[in-house]
Amino acid sequence: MERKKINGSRILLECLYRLGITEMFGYPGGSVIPIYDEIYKFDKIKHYFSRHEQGAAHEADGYARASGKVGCCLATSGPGATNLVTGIMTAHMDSIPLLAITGQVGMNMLGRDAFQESDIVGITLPITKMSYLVTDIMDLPRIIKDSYYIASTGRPGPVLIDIPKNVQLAEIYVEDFEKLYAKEIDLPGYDPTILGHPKQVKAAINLIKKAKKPLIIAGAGVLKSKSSDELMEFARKADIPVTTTLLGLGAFPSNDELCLGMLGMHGTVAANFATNEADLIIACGIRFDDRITGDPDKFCKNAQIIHIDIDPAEIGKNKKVDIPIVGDLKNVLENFNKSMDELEHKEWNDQLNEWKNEYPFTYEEGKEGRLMPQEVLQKLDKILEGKAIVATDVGQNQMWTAQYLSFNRPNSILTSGGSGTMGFGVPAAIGAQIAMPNEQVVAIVGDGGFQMTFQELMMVKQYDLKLKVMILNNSFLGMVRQWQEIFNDRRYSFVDLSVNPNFSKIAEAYGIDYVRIENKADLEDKLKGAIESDKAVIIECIVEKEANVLPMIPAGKTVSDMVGKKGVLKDE
Amino acid sequence: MSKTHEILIIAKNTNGIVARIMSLFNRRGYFVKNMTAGVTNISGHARLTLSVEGDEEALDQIQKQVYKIVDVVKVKIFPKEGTIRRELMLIKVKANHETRAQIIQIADIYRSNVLDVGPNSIVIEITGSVSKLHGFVQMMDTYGILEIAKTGVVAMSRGEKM
Repeated sequence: MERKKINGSRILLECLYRLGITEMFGYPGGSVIPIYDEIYKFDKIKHYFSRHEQGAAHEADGYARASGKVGCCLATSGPGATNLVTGIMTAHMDSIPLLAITGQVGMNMLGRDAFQESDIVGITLPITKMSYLVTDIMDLPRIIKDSYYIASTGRPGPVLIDIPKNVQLAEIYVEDFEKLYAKEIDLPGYDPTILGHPKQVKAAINLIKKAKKPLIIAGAGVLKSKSSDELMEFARKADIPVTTTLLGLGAFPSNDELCLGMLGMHGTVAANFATNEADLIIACGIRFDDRITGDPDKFCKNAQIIHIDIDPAEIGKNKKVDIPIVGDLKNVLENFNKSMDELEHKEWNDQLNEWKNEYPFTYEEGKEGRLMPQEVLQKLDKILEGKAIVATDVGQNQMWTAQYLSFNRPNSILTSGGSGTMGFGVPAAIGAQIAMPNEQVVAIVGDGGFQMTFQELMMVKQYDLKLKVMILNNSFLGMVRQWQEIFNDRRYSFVDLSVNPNFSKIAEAYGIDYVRIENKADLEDKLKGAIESDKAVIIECIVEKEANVLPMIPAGKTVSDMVGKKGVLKDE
Repeated sequence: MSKTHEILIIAKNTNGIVARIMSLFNRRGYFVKNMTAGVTNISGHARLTLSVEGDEEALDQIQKQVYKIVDVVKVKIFPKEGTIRRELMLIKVKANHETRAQIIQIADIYRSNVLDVGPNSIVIEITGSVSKLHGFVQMMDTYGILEIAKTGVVAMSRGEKM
């Protein structure tokens, strides 16, 4: 009997499928034709056809963020691979498990500046958790297994696998492939710490019991370790208020009475005041980003800090802490809960509630009946009732979404936090809708960022997604305009987008329903109608051009430098 | 105050591992003064010794960041005491019939080896601590140095432990 053979391309798909990948995003090209030939024949993984590789990367990223699974994208060599770069960097900054697979020119051409050759491993070295150039088909099963394991464990992140065309076409015997695949993962240099050190945990518990004004800062680590329930139990039991980072939104329900909302540059007054007043910070899966801390030396200046993170390199990177605990947050919080007494911090919580009531997010009414972006989002929040998955773009639209929408469950906001990638919103929402077909998914984008990746809307039509895309159109690059208003004396340098395309015609061109909302009277009915539609809709909201995201702590400054606590710039 | 420290890295000898390590140092803003790399007694692994400038906090970060590289299996910062540090240098010095004997005499004092003697030059191999090599270079400077090649520092802890 003849022994059966399997080629590299098929090995790739077979391994991905066995590891749990059932959907992927990609764009064909010369150096991945063998892989696409196998995709054509392999029906266990559904391939979604992006319209640009950057879109494919963000779609895989949105898919991963919404579902908690590993996202997967595929591109050809050279420009295909480099188009992934922004998407890989976006995933890297926010620790998203992503497998980026690229074709490469054949090994015999490598290093000769062949057509569509680029050193994508070299290019992505600083923005991947790990990367591989596969030089031998015998290494392929191991590399794919290792990659998936590395991407999805510890602190997750993107892994790139660059596969030369000859390796895609090379063949080995099926039984050899099975033997290679069956080998145990052997990565002696990679062993994430899961269990928090008992001594550190004990020290932390002692501090928590003594604290008068403790505060939990919950970050993306809560979502990645799936420990929202443990966090809730801990916060309740110890009666400790919770503020979340931008990427931590949804880790603790917005509507809980212990929730202070988001902290940082555009966070709530109550949350930022709390960081200043607290005597103990329990930092759960956060990395003390500069948009959170402002001046790191003055951040939480009265507090001792307990920092729990799975990545030891995060401890002390941006902020010196008193009790570091390296470990999986779920494990550490479980241990907290086991030994935690029922505590009460009534005075502290009363103080915070006072601030919450005194300084809710607020804004000035629109002039001459013009729509304020904040009221659009407030209305949207009422309609969605915290039940949707919302993807944002970057800038004012992102901050207002974070401020005015409720996020009551994990993975309900998808936003490019670390890298601040404009153009993220639409493709991330597409990826999320594909991952979660039964969920309501809404993309909230600005008129600037929308134009960076709207070609991906073709997928909405092609795959019949019921996605809603809300464009908050203020005819400005709003966030830069805001900085220019505040810091550059209104010298509006290249932020004016009064020359914009006709968005209704874009919707029409892509075969998607379109609604335009430009005044208050129409807002509720039109918005409700669009959101409840069983088809995809682009909702263009013409909003006040020069609205600002407030309050604001200027970059590198402190809580006492906060402006716009009452929603108006010149209020203090 | 920032001082020079030697960092030991043991990593799987995979494609581009040195590039991966160096790229990390560059992008995190750590200045690598010199580096040695070679195979070691653990098969399939490379041993690197990097001399890096930085204060203690920076060093702690370096250690943790380097350890995050998947193929890196061990990172250690050598303590000031209890560490043997050695560097090898080849030095080519101007020499003529008047100075040759003096140079060889100094080389002897430094326990170095003369590898090549020509009509106008002499090549010396010398091994030792950074300061010993520095001292020898100063001595040779008076005769005129033509070339220097250094390996960078290799280091090892005293005693049984790595």
